[in-house]
Amino acid sequence: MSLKLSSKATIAIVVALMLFSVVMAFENVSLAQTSPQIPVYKVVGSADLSNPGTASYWNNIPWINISLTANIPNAPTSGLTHYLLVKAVWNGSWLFILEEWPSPNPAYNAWSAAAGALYPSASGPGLFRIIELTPGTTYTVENNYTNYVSIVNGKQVTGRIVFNYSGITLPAPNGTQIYVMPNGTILLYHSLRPMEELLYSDGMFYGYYANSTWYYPDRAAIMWYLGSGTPTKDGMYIGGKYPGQQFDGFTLKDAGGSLVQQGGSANIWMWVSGATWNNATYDPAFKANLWENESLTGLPYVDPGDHGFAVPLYTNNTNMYEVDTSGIWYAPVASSGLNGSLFFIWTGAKYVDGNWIIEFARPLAVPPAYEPYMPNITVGKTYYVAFAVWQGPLGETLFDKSITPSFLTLQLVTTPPTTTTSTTSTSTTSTSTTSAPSVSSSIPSTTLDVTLVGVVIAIVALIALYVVYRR
Amino acid sequence: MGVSEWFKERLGLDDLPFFRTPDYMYKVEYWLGALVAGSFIYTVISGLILLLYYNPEAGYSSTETLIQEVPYGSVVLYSHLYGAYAMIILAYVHMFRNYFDGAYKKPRELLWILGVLMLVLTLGTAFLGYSLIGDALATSAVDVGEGIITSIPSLSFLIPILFGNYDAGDYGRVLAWHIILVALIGVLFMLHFFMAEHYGMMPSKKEKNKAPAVYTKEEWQKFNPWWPRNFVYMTSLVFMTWGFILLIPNALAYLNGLPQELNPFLNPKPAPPPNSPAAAHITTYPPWFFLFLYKIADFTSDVVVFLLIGVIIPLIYLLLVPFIDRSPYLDLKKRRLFTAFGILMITYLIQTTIWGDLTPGVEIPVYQQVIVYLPPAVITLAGVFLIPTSRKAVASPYGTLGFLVASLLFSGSLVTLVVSPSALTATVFALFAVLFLLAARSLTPVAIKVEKQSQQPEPQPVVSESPRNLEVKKRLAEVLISLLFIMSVVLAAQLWTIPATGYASNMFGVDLGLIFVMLGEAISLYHYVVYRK
Repeated sequence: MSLKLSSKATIAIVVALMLFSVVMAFENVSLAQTSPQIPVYKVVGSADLSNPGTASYWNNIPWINISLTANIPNAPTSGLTHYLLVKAVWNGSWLFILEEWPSPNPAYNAWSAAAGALYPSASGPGLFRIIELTPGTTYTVENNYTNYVSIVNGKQVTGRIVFNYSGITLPAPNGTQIYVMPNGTILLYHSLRPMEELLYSDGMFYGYYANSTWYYPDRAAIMWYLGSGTPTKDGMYIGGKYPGQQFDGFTLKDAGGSLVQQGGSANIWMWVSGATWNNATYDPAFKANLWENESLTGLPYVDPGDHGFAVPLYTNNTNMYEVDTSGIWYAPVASSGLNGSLFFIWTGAKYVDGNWIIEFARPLAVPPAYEPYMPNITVGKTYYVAFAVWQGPLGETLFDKSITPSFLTLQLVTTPPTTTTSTTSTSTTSTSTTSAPSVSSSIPSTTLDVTLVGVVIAIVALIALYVVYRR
Repeated sequence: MGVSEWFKERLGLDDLPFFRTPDYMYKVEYWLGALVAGSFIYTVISGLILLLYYNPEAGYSSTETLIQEVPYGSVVLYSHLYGAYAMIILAYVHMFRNYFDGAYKKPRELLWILGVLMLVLTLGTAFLGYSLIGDALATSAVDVGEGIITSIPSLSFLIPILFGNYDAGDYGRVLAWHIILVALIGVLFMLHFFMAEHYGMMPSKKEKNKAPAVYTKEEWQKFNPWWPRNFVYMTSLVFMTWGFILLIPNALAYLNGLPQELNPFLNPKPAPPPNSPAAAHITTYPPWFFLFLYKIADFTSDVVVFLLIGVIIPLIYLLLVPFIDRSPYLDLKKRRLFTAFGILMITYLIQTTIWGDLTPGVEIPVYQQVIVYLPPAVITLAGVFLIPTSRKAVASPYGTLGFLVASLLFSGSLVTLVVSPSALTATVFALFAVLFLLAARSLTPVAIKVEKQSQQPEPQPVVSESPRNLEVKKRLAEVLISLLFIMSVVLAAQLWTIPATGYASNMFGVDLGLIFVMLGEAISLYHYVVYRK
């Protein structure tokens, strides 16, 4: 039997409508989330980076409380900062992001290892990393490796150190230096970076060692996703210097710091208390005038207004790079035409009442040369951002940190915020009914997904029963 | 027909106390129980083979030996696991199908209760079987199970009885219970089976729309006897079931590095042993069929409440439903509340399973539970109660479609309202709620009309096709049968070249599964050619 033309058209319309309604069903969820998790409110004014958070417009902006989690769940020294408060505004040409988090023990005078490495007379905490191995890890010195030397508790011995944890053994490279604490815990001194990946994958990485005199700088970073689509993984790989690095008989699949999100890349703004803070008392790099010394840094880093700065980093699936600098932390992403933009992202920071307060400031637009590596921030576009915090005195450094469990959405908005807090300023008489942003960020997306699944199943079951039992 | 007649006479097949089957019942939805039984039998057979090699005092290492060294050991082990998975899924399908059919009503109440008990036993057996592997997942699952029991102090005495010396690596007691429970399922199955044969399969509502839905002796005598048609049909179903049980896990064994969310469902391989460093890096999760319970445990810290929500209340409801829903009506429109409960049970089971998979061990506050569980409940109750009310006939696919669109918009706006309550979202919600109600009403005439139609005596079903058309199709089926046989033989001939152990050995399971599926399909086509009129 052949279908009539009209009934074919009917079927086509029905199918199209059906598809449309399914699409709308999923669209609906994002309708529920159209207010971004981090709205960037429009304000009038400029940033006061010498005293972050004091500009009057900040009073009208509600804090957004962002939960943080360990980026490596199995290291007890990871995930020690449990939340981060964030506010964001824009003034037409610049973006300002204010962060605050509790940090009972600030890392004064701890070097960022990369900055310390540039400065010949650097001394003090943070210059290199000390890794604490999982309790229960033991070591032996294999004497038959006669061309190896090892340093155990300060004494040089001939032979190769082999770590053993629950029957898993890991031979250490030549020249490995360890210290065995009285309780038997092994500390591994300034090893090469690939060791972290090897220790971690064998369950021997307990965390970075810190005590009252040896610790790492505090840090805060914002990651801006640059790839297409919705990113799901805001983590980075632990790994070697480059993908496929052969290290002491091991092949390391990924480069440390390369982005896990496949096909994606990201720009990172990294503030470090011991290198970018611009505090002549507690920031050893600024104390030593390191950034003004072109013979040490390789490029003229000019600070136009006595600010702190954030290191501009770029990460993709291959590796982590620096944008338009000489390669102090990581290799430059482009090796020619460098202008030295270390001070492109400004920061201001202060430590008050047990909390760090950091303000990031950056022009919304970036020069064309930076565009592949840094986002141009415009109205109407949704950005995916992730946050990370390191508390150096507690042993957080490098890939051992507290991060947002997933990317958050960020948008420039033109509406003023609703004043839910009872500030003394005259309450806005605007009729806008924008809901408080913290509400939508408090319902995890999995909950909404599961709700949607339930709704779809219920409807499908209803229709299926109706169709089947109609007969 | 000589051979068939010979067997019929010699074995006395006509005297079997088996149900005679009307022509319209040769569809798979009438044979779901046979599919469950098929997977049960497969799992028992493969389990007995595994029993020859398994050592309960070295659970993990003997599992590893089985996978690495025993010829086709991994084929048998993985398909044993997926045979159990198939049995659980099919048992759920079988149960819900009968639930909506009202098959628990007089006179099949005991049949239903036995079935529910068998489902519980099946889940218990599967849990014990899963524990026998002794990997990090199994031991953590046993830990959770033990934790639930010990949190009710008066039940602690059960731990050594149930698990023996499990924590010390001796799985003998768990193995014993695993086998005992299977034997128990077998005994209950015999009862269930013979009662099912006694009352016959649940007739179509066109034939019997009120309980007791059984054919009279006179009607019954006119149907097809068990031999040979039922035998042929069942053989095809069993081959297909066994084929997929072999095919799926052995194909999945070649997938590596699945995202964590898919692991509980699609990874047949054991995880690392619990005392290895690698175990520190894996996410522990229960077997997928207990993910829902695992999630419910995140709702409350009170174990008694947890057991009530997750186990006791649903179970008691299922056991007692034949005595709660005592009306003789089988029609869903006359059992609206029970229909709604059925839909909600399915919805919540799937929802909670997915939730447990996505957020294992993450505590869920009450307001989020409301967000997740309220919209399906509202939609289901509204849908079930509103469908047949008005009496004007407006039948068209648009009615259904409109209802679908309206319900999706309605539920979406409800979520929006809960997430960000404001005047705007409330208005939108109210708007879509009205739309949803209207759409539901517009659907009702369809149901009413159909109801009316079904009350009138219909002319004899005109399903038979034109003889020529049927003849062509049968020819085609014959060609297909020979093709399937040729392909089976080709596959079977190269089956023996597959190494018995190692990476390639799972291809044996894949190929054998394919052969079974093809044979099943061939027999099904044979059934079509011979019996289709």
